[in-house]
Amino acid sequence: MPITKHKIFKIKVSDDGKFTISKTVENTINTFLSEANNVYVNHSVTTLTEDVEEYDNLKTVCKYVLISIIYKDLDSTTLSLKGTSNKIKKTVQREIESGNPINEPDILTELDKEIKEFESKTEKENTPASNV
Amino acid sequence: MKLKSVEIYDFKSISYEKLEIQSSQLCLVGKNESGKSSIISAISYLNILETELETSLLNKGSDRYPNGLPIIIGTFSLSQNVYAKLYKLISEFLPNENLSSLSKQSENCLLQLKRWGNGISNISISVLSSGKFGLKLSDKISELAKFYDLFFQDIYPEIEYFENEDLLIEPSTIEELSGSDKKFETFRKLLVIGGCNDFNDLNNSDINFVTTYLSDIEIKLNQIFKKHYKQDQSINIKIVPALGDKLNLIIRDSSNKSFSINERSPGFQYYFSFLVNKLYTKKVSGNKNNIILLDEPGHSLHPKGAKDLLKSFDEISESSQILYTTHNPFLAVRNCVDSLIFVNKTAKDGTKINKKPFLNKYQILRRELGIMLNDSFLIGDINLVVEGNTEKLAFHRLFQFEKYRDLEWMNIYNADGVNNIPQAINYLGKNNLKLSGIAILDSDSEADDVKKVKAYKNNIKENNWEEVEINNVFSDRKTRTFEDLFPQDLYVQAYNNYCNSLKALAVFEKEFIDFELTKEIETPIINTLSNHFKTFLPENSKSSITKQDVIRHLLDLVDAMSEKEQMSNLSNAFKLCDKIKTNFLKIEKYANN
Repeated sequence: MPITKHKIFKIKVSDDGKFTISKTVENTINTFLSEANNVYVNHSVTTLTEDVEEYDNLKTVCKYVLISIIYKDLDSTTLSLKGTSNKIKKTVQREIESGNPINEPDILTELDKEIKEFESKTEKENTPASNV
Repeated sequence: MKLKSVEIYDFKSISYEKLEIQSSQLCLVGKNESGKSSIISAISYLNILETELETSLLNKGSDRYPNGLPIIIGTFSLSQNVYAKLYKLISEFLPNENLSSLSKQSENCLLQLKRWGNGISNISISVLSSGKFGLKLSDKISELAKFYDLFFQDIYPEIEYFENEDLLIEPSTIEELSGSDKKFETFRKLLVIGGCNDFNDLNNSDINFVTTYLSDIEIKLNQIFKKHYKQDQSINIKIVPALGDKLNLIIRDSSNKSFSINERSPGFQYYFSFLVNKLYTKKVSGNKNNIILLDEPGHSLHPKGAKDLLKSFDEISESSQILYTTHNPFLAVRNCVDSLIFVNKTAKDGTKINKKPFLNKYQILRRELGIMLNDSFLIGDINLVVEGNTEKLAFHRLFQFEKYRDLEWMNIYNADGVNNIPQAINYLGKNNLKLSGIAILDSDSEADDVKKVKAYKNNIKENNWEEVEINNVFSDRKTRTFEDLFPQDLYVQAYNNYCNSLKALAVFEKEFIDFELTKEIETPIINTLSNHFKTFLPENSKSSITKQDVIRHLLDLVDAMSEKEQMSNLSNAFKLCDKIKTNFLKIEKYANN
């Protein structure tokens, strides 16, 4: 099953307090999100501040902006999308976004029954006889 | 990979239903709201990557209502080649211990795909070769996404579902063509058939390039459509830029006037668009089997257009499967009776398929399409009056052979028993409907009696009526019925197949033993076989051989034969068809008057 992870992007805020996300950060986030095996779940934005004494007053200065992206990592899972077509990527990503898989219904078709017989036969053959 | 059956759970009005698909062409017939379209729509969800199940599709009587999803299970048969391809693919993804349980080759492998949700975690696939091997692949495969990607691309059939309006061609801008709106899909496909693979080429600022490019596409399209659109060979296609940079399709026909596609009749628009979709599918999918699902195709088509559409369906069904619903008698009746599925709905059980193949399908068809027997529009100008359903079914299928295609449009009128033939001819003939026809009679005492009836004699002597009897193709005068037209060994084989198929229906009291043909049987062969049949029935049973089913088995056996074998086995049947054709040409001039 895909593991839920989070990745933090840290942006340094310039001295003049102006908040501009540099092209590099934007590109990094975009590249991260466009990676097929990372499926976006949620995000949060936090600021890291520092209180600086100025003219006997404490002034709060914003030092960093932290963007935390929560995502499902499909790498090394059976749903890994590396090297797959767009169609399957879209299908799997939609599936992950919509939540947990549904349990297979308890329906046994004629074909299922016959397969079960084969599988139990193979299992028996593969189980070593217990030593008496 | 051919779809053999579909099991549907909790889909709209269907609580549970299993549809067996015996032929490449299947026509679902039923009243409005009976659930035909639901069956077609449910099958479309076997296209995993392009459809999404929603809770609104769930049957309201389901235990899982309102939050669950329907369940669709498709079973496909795999040809030897397709199985080899699948084996090669799974060998890359399956651990050795599982792979070794499968054979490298298989002629009769089935693949089951079960879908109970969206995405690839909510489906399963299993393979089974009865008595040889069976495995639930999806439980064992390591890289599901990669596997399914290749599986759906290279092995699984394309499943396409069209509702009427989906097919139509809409004028569109290049931007719209490059987008994904389904409304413009047919226009996209038209351009692709014409050789345009990148719509941005049409956006080139060099006007000379765009106009010559469009002209090349037009030339190619005209070549293709002249070959496939038989109705009007003078048809000429033009693609022209219209207001607001929209491209429009202009069609010039035999009247020498140009019309935009939207100005043409709905029937023409449908037929043309269907042709575009068909040619496109053929172009892109190559040898892969396709499943085409159509909901009420061509409901505005003229009977002649419907006939052309049916021919188109026939062509498609040679390489793909086509399943459709209809209310149009000209799309249903002209088809092989075996391809008809009757759907009805009751308050208690919801949508159900009529699974009684022994019933008279023509009677059900008339009822389901709401056609009364005396609706004379269903009676042809020239009628082939036959004794019963056996002959009706057989002639339907014999007229599918190319050399008898001319006869295909002749109405085959089932008199429902030899004794009703005089009455039928009297109804169709000079005293009532004033139509023409050919009566087909057995060569037995019952038919001889019929020939003496006044109503028969008076009508058959007219110039526009002819009589053909079975013995017309034999040189002696033995007693013969329709069944004696076929080689006895073949008829006996079909009879045995038919009886074996009855085992599941618990018709017989004793275990059925095949009839063995050791020497030639005296005609009519059906008498001897009826006696054999009775020996397995309970004492007071009134069952008898359903001759139409035996003929169906016989013609199925013939279908599987080489052309040479077909010719020799059907030589007498063909001789009879030749006689019918001669008579048909003789009386045709009266019918046209």
